[in-house]
Amino acid sequence: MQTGTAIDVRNIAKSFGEFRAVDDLTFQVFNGEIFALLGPNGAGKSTTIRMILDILKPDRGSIAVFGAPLSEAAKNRIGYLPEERGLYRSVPVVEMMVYLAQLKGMAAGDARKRALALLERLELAEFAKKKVSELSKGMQQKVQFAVTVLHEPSLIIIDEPFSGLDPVNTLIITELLLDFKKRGGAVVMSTHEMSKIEEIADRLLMIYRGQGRLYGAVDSVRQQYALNAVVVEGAGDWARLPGVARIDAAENGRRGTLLHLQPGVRSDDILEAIAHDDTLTLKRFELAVPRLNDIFIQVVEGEKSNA
Amino acid sequence: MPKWWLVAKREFLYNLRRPAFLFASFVMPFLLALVLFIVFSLIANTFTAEVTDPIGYVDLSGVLADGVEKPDNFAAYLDAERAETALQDGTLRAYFLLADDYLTTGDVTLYRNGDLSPAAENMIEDFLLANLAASTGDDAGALLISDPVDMQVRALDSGRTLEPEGVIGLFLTPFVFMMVFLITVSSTSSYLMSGVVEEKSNRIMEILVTSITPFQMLAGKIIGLGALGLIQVGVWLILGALVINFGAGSEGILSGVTIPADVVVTALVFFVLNYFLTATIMAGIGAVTGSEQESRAIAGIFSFVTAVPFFFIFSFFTDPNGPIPVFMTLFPFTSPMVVILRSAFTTIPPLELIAAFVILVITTVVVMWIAARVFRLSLLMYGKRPSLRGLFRALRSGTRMGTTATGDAS
Repeated sequence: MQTGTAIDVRNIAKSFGEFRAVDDLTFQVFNGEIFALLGPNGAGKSTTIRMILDILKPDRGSIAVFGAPLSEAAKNRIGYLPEERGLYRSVPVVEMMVYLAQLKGMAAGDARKRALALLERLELAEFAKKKVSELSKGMQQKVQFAVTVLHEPSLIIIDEPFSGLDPVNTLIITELLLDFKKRGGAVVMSTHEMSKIEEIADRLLMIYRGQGRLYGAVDSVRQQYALNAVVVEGAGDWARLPGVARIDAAENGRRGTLLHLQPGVRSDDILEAIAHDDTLTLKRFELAVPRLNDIFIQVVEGEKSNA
Repeated sequence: MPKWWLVAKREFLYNLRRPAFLFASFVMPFLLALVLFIVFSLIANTFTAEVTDPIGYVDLSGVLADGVEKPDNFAAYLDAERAETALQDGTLRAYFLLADDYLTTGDVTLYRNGDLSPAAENMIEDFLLANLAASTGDDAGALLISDPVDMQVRALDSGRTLEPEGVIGLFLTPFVFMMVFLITVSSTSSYLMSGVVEEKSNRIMEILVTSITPFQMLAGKIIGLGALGLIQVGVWLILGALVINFGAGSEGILSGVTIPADVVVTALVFFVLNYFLTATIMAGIGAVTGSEQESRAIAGIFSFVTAVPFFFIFSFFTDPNGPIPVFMTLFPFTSPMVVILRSAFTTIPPLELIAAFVILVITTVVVMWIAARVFRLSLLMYGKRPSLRGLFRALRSGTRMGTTATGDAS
């Protein structure tokens, strides 16, 4: 596995007229990790990505990619899957892939071999010579992903990589991303799919109104928002358990009951008490660590009410 | 391999396979050549075909009595009645009657059964002319009467000497060049414009700009499509040479036609410059508008400017060195066409030609600089055209136009 910093963003800001799209943002992305960029629509995610890729210039602050300001040579080491998908529609899939890989500095022969292997893995081998316009939307989405990783980049920046994909194709792309990470590549993934972030991302940055709101390892961010509570599912009167301060229904419509614990009471103590109480039947027991989705809503709603 | 080269290669190969290009470059010239071939053959045949129609004549003037030997298909008749009978019964196709006062009035009456070919009429004329010449008793005079003009044109300003046969070539060549260049430049630069519009509208541009610089992209497109344009010109030139070669060998109207080398060189130089200027402008328009319909409308304005010299073509006939043709020679957007057009009517003074060349080169370089910046600034602006003020501001600062997260111009 590679080590080191792939992207180092320091205090960047970008305004469009009066509108401040990105405001004093600082973060790092390391090699060998999947870094999630999340935030509501219009929060500044795409602007941030475009500044990293040198499509837009920040008004202030600095961005280093592979340890230096982005150079033309360094661009060859980046794969980009933009939010607005785009492919040449009237050329055969493999020809288009080879051309785009060549523009990233790959030799035509290597590009063709790898393109065919990738199409095979994406279950698109039989469509290699078809025109892009003849493919379904989901197939085009997979081809777009293949274009992003074809030239064997060290860093890929992907915007909503799973949109429009069915569960089977989502799994294929997920495996490719995990493979890429395992080989030391850095992934910046902008997405609204919180469950996917929980599943595969190592660290995250949540942007709201151009500013960083949550930043760090996914697990530790979730722990920050963890309540001193447990979720139980089963039968019986949970209120009689010692150490339970209050009982609620589990949050956001999920099954189970949320037991708020008194200060100083640990989840282990509750589990032990349930085990010794014959009137209670336990089917499920888990720590009340909030889902990212809940944290996301909490942060956004909190910001709105503070505004 | 340089990235601009990859772009050039792709543009070249992709557009080479377009049915529209194949038709315009290979089918259309051959169709035109075929039509020209048929027309020239017919014309040549009409004027030079061997006449076998039996033609009679009645000479009441006595001019043809003991003159030049008559052609094999000619027959003399003693009076009009006999000739008329022969015409009626089909022995003769036509007969002509020389009145007894022919030498003073020149009256000749032709009686014919149906149409008579121009070649047969020429034959009658030649027969009369030869007999008249013979009747003078002066051989040199007779020769002069039968072929009165052997003109050499000397243009004072160039010293170029034109043989009578070369005049057609001198007029024809610039017109042909101009039409070929106009077709080639407009078709290749419109491919360029629609290519940019396509890449912008299907959003692949966002991937491209993270792979190559806008300047590499612009240079690759212009060079690749320029090579395509040269192929188109090459096909036309080869066909033109074949047609002229065929015509020169025949006795038709293209006989003796040669293409003046200086006109060809001047035309090619101005063609290349014209292509660079037009293609750059079209790429800029494509990048700014991002829609096929809108870019075509704006491109139409530039095509109109290029075509303006045609509205003043009368000035080129009447006064090719007058103020309007001279102004249009120096004005960079009309100069490529006008330089070629004017060379049909006059020889452009070398200093004027050099001035036109220098002005065109400077304009092309400036336009390329501006277009490269506009191209760079506008590539990722979708659905909204940058304002003129925004463009000027961005041109001055040299930075990219601001785009919001959705790609709209700020």
